[in-house]
Amino acid sequence: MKLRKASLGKPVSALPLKTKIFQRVEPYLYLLPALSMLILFTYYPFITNVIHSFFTVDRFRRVRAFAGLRNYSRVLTDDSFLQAVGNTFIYVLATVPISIVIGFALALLAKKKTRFSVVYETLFALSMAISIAVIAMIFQLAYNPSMGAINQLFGLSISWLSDPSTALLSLIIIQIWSNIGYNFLFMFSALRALPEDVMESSRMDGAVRSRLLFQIIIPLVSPTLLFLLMSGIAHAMTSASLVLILTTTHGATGQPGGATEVIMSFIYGRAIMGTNFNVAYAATTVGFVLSSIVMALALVLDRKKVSYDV
Amino acid sequence: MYKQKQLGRGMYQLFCVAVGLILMAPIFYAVSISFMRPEEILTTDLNLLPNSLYLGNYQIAIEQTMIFRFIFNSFVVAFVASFVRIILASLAAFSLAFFEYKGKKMFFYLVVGSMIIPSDLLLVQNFFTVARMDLVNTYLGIMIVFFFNAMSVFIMRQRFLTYSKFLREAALVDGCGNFRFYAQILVPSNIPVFATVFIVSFVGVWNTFLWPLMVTNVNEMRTAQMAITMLNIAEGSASYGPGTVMAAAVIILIPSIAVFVLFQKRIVGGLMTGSVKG
Amino acid sequence: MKRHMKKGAAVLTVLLFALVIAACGRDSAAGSASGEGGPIEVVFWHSFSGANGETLEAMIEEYNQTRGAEQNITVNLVFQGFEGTNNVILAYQTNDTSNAPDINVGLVSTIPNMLDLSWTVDVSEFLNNPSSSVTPATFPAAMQRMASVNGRMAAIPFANSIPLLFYNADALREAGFDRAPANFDELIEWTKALTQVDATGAVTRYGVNFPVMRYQMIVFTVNQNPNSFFFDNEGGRVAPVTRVTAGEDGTMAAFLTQLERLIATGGFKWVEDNPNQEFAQGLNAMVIRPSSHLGAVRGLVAGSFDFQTAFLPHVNAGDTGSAPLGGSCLSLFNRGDDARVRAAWDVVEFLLRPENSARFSMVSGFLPVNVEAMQLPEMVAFIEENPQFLVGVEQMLQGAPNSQEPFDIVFADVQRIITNTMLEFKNGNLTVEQVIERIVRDVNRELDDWHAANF
Repeated sequence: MKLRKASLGKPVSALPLKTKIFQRVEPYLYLLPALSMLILFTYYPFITNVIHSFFTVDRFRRVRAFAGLRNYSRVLTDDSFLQAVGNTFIYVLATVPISIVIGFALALLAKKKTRFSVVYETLFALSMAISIAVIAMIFQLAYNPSMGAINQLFGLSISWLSDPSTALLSLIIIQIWSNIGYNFLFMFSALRALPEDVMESSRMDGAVRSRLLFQIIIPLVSPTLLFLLMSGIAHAMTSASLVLILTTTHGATGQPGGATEVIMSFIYGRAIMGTNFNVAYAATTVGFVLSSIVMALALVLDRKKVSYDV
Repeated sequence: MYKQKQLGRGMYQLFCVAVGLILMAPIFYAVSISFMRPEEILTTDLNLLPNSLYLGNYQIAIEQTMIFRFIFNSFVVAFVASFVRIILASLAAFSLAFFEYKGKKMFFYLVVGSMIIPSDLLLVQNFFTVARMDLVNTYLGIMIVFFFNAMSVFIMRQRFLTYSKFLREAALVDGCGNFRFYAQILVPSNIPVFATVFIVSFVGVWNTFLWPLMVTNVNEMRTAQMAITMLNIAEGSASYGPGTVMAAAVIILIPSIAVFVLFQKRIVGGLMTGSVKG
Repeated sequence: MKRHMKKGAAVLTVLLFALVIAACGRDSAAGSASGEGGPIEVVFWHSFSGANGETLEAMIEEYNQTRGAEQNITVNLVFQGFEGTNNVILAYQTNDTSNAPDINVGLVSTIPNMLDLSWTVDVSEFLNNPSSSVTPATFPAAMQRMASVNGRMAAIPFANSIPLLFYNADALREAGFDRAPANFDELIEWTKALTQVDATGAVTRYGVNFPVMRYQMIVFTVNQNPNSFFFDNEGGRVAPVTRVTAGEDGTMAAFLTQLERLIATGGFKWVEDNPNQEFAQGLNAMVIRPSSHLGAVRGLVAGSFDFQTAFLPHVNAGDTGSAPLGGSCLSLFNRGDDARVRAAWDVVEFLLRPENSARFSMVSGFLPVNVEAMQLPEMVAFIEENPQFLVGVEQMLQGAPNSQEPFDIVFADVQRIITNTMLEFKNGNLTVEQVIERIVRDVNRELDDWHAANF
């Protein structure tokens, strides 16, 4: 209300009714477009999903009967779902920290402006401009056991994507590669934004430099680190693009043998490819719970270390 | 002594460039393969460079698919969705940061709370909403789920809150209305934050694969990301092969890399001043 | 003044959104209804890529310019990859007729699921119409049976294949074989002889390559005797399937026992990386593939060796079943416009003409669906030159029509369960009995779920 007073410089009661009403609704008007999208595409589907997960629905999503917790017990005793959950955690734990560390390391490498710094800054950041589907295609060929460059270069004979012991690793490598540019760019900008004297002092010898890194630089850039961590986790917990592009064959998601199945590909496989919405809805709710726990955990762990007085 | 230092600096830069080139090796690989004849690719011998600049793969990729349309679609979707997102987010942030009204707290918690609901998990339900709105096979249908993003609202609100009260009040006393304050002062003075949010959004939408796959089923509306994976289905035929897929990949890469290189400086600038405050 | 401006500005913002949204809204792409007098558009979703896709495109192009032009019908051909059938079901759930096809190409196993859609056209009415140029008799007996539910044809055979053994006859001759193996005992012997190992012990040429997923499991169990359907109710052809029978009738055990011996040779490559290319490069001497890859493999081999095909090996000598047909059929949908359905049928009639049937078959290796196609002079000449293409047709004609791929209503689950379980079998983690127990248990559980939700 203070704003309204300030803007008009006279008491509210002196205004005509029409204006008064408009002033009442004005802040809501600004909020309305965003809020309607939020409700329509986040809360509404979220709540619908949770409610439906307690019912038996047919393959056209018509509610047939109350199911209680049956869908949940079905999903939670399904080995393939548990495997998907496990793989998802491996995926998050491997891709998120490693991409951030590599991005940070590259940012430290590039933080000093030099004659050619534009060249390598661009190279370091470029993976950000390359969509996951495109890079998946490139790696698919590179991973090919007979025609691919990786086996040919290193004289290996590994069936990267079709051997259960390497398939998930293969996807993780692509995901990390794809994340590097994004993480680099954020870390690089954060470093460049630091005060000049912090940067100058990086000329010191090794021991001092590592102390500088851990005691000064990292705390200073911690908000960016947290942002990358949170958005990285949120994305990695629910992404299935690589699985659906590279390791799904004729209706069987997460091949070979479920080795690359993640929560989201499990849901897509059941709901869209298999029209088993009962399992899919329950799995989705479980996915919600798990990812919010992970995000909350990351937040709590980080709250203690993040410094906000940049 | 000085020379040595300069040499060291030169070596350092050379090292950095080398690291960058190694990092981008997959891209060079794709470019190289895209110029190879099928028989150069379909061999167990290592072939890193094409024997000659064979253009057949590009010819197939361009003739057999509507690849330029797909790229155009991807751009439209990523650009417009991100643009709408920053407008929606900044208006909401404006409301949340500068006004006092009933329910404000609740709305704010609704926004923040949605951050822990991963949007990808909602795709299946959202598909049915979008289909009921009759938006299948439309740009709007592809974009609409990306219009709102809680993180964007949050970042902008944080930024607006740091705004000097004096400036705001001075503007308002000057007779500048609320919306004019938003449009003429708040927006122009926060371009870096807007740029940051826009870029994060653009990259995110540009990369999406699953959602466009669900809401489009006609050629004209496909995005580049899904189109390239569809090309790939032509496994093991003599005319279509990895070379065609790589050629399509390169065609898709060119505009996105060009845009990125052009705007990279600005992106960094935006990120530096509008740096993310968790 | 100012107040008005304020209001105006707020309204303007809202309008701006409307504008942005409207400006980038509908594209002309959405399936347009056939307007009065305008051409009738038939939307045709398909899943053919590469040369097969090009041939279909050429045939449709020809239709649009000739018969279609005469009758004011235009076919809009859309490639959907493997998502087509999913997309039809999604559109159906939201009653979104404008974004659905009139014709869809779907896997044989999805036929009964499609029947439950109220949109699905009963093609038997068209087929039994005496004025129609396509009748059940257009198709070989095995194909009629393949596409029939409860004795009525429910879809139109179009792109159907049969599994074959593709082999490198030069390699076989070198190893002393002048013919392909006819059963697993021979396959094992042949594989041992054909496998080549380098000085370090690494395999440089495998004897045979195929994965064991749903398709292979089914073809090798159905292939054993005419009453082996893998599932009950004759594999879903007399009533919906309710459980797996391949466990109790011994067909799965027979196959797995032989497969175990094949794995033990060390010359069996399970993983399917790029089966066509690897075979063409001579990395695998034999490969088991659906006949639909004949065209692609012939192009890749390009005469570099003597490429031949043979019947799918039986599991045991003396088996009496035959290889089942697979691939895809056409389903027609009524989106509320009978004229469009008739137009779609006209397209079907065109595509099934003997000359078009032959044309599609010669490029791809799909079996010619029209029986008359085999008599066409161009087909006779083609087969003379490419005897590999005749083998599949003979296998179908000599086989028992009963041997068919089952209508497993939970296709994706069956695919996943069999693929995953078999991989563990290959890695030696499961015995034959454990594999059978797990596949039967898990698939039955999915079927129970399906029936519980879709009663």
